[in-house]
Amino acid sequence: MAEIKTIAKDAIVTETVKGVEALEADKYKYGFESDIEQEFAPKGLNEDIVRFISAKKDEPDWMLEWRLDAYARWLTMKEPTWAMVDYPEIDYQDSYYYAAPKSDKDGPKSLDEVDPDLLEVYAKLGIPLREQEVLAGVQGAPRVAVDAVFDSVSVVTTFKEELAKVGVIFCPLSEAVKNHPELVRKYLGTVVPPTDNFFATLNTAVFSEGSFVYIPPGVRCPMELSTYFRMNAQGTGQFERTLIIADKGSYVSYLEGCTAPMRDENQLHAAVVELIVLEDAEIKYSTVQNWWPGDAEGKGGVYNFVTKRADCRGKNSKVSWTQVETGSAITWKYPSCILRGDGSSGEFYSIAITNGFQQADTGTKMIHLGKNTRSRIISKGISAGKSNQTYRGLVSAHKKATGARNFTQCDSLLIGDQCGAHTVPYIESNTPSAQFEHEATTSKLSEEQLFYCRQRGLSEEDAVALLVNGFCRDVLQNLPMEFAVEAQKLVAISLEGSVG
Amino acid sequence: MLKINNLTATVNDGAQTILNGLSLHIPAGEVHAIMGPNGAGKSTLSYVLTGKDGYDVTDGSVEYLGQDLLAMQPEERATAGMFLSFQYPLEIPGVPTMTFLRTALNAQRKSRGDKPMSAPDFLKKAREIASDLKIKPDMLKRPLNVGFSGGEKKRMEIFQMMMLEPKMIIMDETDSGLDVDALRIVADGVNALRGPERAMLIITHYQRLLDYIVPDRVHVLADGKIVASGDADFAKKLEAEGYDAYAA
Amino acid sequence: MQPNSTPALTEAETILGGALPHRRMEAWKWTDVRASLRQKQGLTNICTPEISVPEGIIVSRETIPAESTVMGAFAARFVTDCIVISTPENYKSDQPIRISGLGNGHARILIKLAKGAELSVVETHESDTASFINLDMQFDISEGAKLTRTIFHADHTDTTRIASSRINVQTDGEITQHMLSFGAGLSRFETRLTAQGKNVKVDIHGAYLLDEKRHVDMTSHIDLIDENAQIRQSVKGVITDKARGVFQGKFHVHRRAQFTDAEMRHDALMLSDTCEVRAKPELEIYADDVACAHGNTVGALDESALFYMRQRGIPASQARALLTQAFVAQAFESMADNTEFMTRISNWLEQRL
Ligand SMILES: Nc1ncnc2c1ncn2[C@@H]1O[C@H](COP(=O)(O)OP(=O)(O)O)[C@@H](O)[C@H]1O
Ligand SMILES: [Mg+2]
Repeated sequence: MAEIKTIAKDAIVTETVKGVEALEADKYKYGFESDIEQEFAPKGLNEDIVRFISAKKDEPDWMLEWRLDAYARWLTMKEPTWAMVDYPEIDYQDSYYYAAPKSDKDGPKSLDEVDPDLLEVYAKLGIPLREQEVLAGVQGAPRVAVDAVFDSVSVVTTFKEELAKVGVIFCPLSEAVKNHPELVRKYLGTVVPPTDNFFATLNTAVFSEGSFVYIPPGVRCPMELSTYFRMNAQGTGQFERTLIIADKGSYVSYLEGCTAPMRDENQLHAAVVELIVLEDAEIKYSTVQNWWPGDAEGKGGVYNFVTKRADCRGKNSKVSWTQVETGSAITWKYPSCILRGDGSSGEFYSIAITNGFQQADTGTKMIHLGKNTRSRIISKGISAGKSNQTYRGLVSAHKKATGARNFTQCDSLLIGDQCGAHTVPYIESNTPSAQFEHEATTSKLSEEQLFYCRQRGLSEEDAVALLVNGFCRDVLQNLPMEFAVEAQKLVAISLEGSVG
Repeated sequence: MLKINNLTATVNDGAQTILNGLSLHIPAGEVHAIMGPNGAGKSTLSYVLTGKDGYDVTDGSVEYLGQDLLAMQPEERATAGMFLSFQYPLEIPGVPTMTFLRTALNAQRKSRGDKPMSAPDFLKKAREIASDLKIKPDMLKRPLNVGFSGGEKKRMEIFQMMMLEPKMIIMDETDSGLDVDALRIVADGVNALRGPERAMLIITHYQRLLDYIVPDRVHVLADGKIVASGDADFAKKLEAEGYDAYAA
Repeated sequence: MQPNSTPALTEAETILGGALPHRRMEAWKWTDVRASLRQKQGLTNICTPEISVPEGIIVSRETIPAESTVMGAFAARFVTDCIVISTPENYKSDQPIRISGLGNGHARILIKLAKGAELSVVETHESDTASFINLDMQFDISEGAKLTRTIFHADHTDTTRIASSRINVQTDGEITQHMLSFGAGLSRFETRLTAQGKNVKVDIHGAYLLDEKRHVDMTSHIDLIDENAQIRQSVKGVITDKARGVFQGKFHVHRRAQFTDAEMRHDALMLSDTCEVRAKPELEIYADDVACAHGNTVGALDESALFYMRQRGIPASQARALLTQAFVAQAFESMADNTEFMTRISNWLEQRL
């Protein structure tokens, strides 16, 4: 294991340097727009739109009612204002809440039915959509099952059959509602209830797609599962919803990637992710979020308001969130763990990079309810340009959470004197046997280290990328290998133009 | 002096058995060494003997100077003369070494019914021993072990040992982290304490220390029990041949 | 999220003539004055502090605009004439200003240190019956002036005390503040410090030891505006029974405040199963060439340290007291003479451990 890591790291350094060079030309590599015929629901939001979405998805009545309740509730709620982000008021009537590629009308039965243009989009994104392509790859190449969500609908899920052999269910959520209603009803909305917060409630009313994963007891999912989200259609919001259930003693590693084309308007993304972990089960959830951050003048970009939460219900269950956040104009996101089962543990590893005019308010919540629960938070924030970034976190121990442990390390790096880096941790303990430790530092890149690198021949930008990657190492090591390489590249790309 | 019979100890509510029927007798006046591979349970033995929380004795008994050792509190064992030189000595911020040691010495004297040692006597004794061990006086004013190097911490353990004059000394890997000069200084201190009233249990990995402190008996601890014993030369043989022959 | 409508005023609020801070306000989320203030008597009292000053210090009364805070506005409503204490330039004395008698009602005090002045202020905040105290203080530290502030706090278990200080520091100014609190039914000591000039030095330390149902909230908000400030802050808490300790610290480093060197620490020891600790150590940083750090720990005494001491023959209760005392003492290391504080601390610990 150790050996592999070393090799990967070396490769990563080279990749980073190459990445910086390659990206001189196209700043946002994922910013191409695809010209695909779209089908939209009328612009705006009202009860009819909620009904329309539900009807499009052919949903049972209970689902429609659930949505309508949430919508009614949402109308009474106010947008939260406590985060350190600043944006013009959002006009919720000025967005499309449903967009689907036309050819999807009846749902693709196989890959061959998928619009070839669409496949090309994914090819550009580097997603191994076609099973045969992946299989034809080098022996031992990573095999990743992919659910690709294009605006509001899931386009294709690969490897379904192979997964079915071990009982793993991996499909679009809308399909799970039809084929596995008992599971969906049992778990959907139990971690993030419809009333949770303004954006989650909105999501509950209008969510149009997302992935559903169920890992049966004792099964170690034979491959990594992955979803790629892409917002393509103009003026659309994306509201996906992901539900993952790891039954007793099971394990799954799940990857989520996000991109959106360059547009000079703001696109809204309000997703909900719910993880349910039963006894002795483990979920590893990794995200590389690279939504369009807006242009150099701060125009456009995605508003990313996401609610992600894991419920460690069973004894000794485990959740690990790893996130690399480089995109979005505004990020509002706190992947959290409710450590309910005795001996359960939660981890949060985060790299957040903001540049240009980006604003990010992100962190985690570790809520210790059970005995001997553990949590660990490692957060690395890098602010450059005119951006602002806040780590916001909560660690709490209930009276019954005897023997709970938390360790938090929050480091921020400022590049340039026009940005901001902030740390807002909340610590609440109600039992003496919980041991909480929090450390945070804020500093700038060391001039000496920069000089050292340049003396050895690295350009200033390469040196910065190299040092920032070093600063993030603790987190990068926790990413699945393929993602680690991509993340390293992103670090370099995101910081482009931040020095000199 | 110390009679350990069939000692069995577990951790994590019995989930893991670390000591598994260990027996060992150390008469007064003798120095015994325990060697064994990493993870054999050597430090665990030292903790069980000194009464650290987190270890459950599920079987066996330990008699120390005619008393039931396992029924005593850690401080009662210390007052009865049992001293552990820790493998990893603790750092205690805010408590100066001298304050700590004086509190300990006088607490022990008090429970034995002795008067506290006067401040001048205490200082005099501390200065003498510190100079023998080549410990700089200003180190004694600093909070206990805070920011000390590994070697300095080990020397501080021996300093405390010589100040407290215990009867039963357990040294857990005191030699690790010490250079040759420091090793000689420490060994001289330990040898000076050897006497008919005292017994010692020296836990080590390397036979190097035993060149300086020559033991009466050498034991191998593997899988939670004593699996072989011999005289001082046995340590040399172990060093040459390794513990493989004794592992399960 | 903000409530949609403002709830009706409580009885106390009606007497006071306005809403009290409550838990829906982010800065007051753990110190809910509205919910805790049960008193109806003495809410509009005016407090007459006892102030003794060394020679050369001028005491007067002036009309000063109100602070913009909720509690500041209350203080100004009931106390129109603020007590103003000022020093001449380059003033020095080995005698401190002593302020006591802060046992009931509203009070406003402004202390002005002229250029190069050095001044010690010793404050005692005490009450022996259930009282309501709202104290609004301001300190102006001119160029090169040095303030040493020592605060002792011990209130009746049913007292509510809000003590706010605004401290403005100019170039080369210094402040060293030490506070020891044994709490009140509900109490908050809020320090809002602005380092306006360059090279400002701030040492602001404190400890709280709380039993029964006491509550203390140590909140500080330090704004650094200009270059080269050095800040050290360390707060230690010991809580037992059903007490609640709150620490909220914030360093706000403005764009121009390059070369800031700032450290914040809060550590709390919980001694009972029913006590509570809340902490929010915050950094807000807009200057890049800075070194800022904060640390926070919450938990019980270190078991291995305890065992180590017992292995050396120190009885468990004594070992516990020694470790706890050493833990608290770290807040008062930089104090010129901490014997009085340390004696009070060991007495408190002796009675409770
Ligand atoms: N408190 C504990 N909880 C769990 N395992 C423990 C504990 N203490 C010791 N062990 C385990 O017991 C074994 C023996 O440890 P130790 O006595 O430290 O070995 P040695 O000192 O011989 O190297 C090791 O496998 C160690 O991990
Ligand atoms: Mg050991």
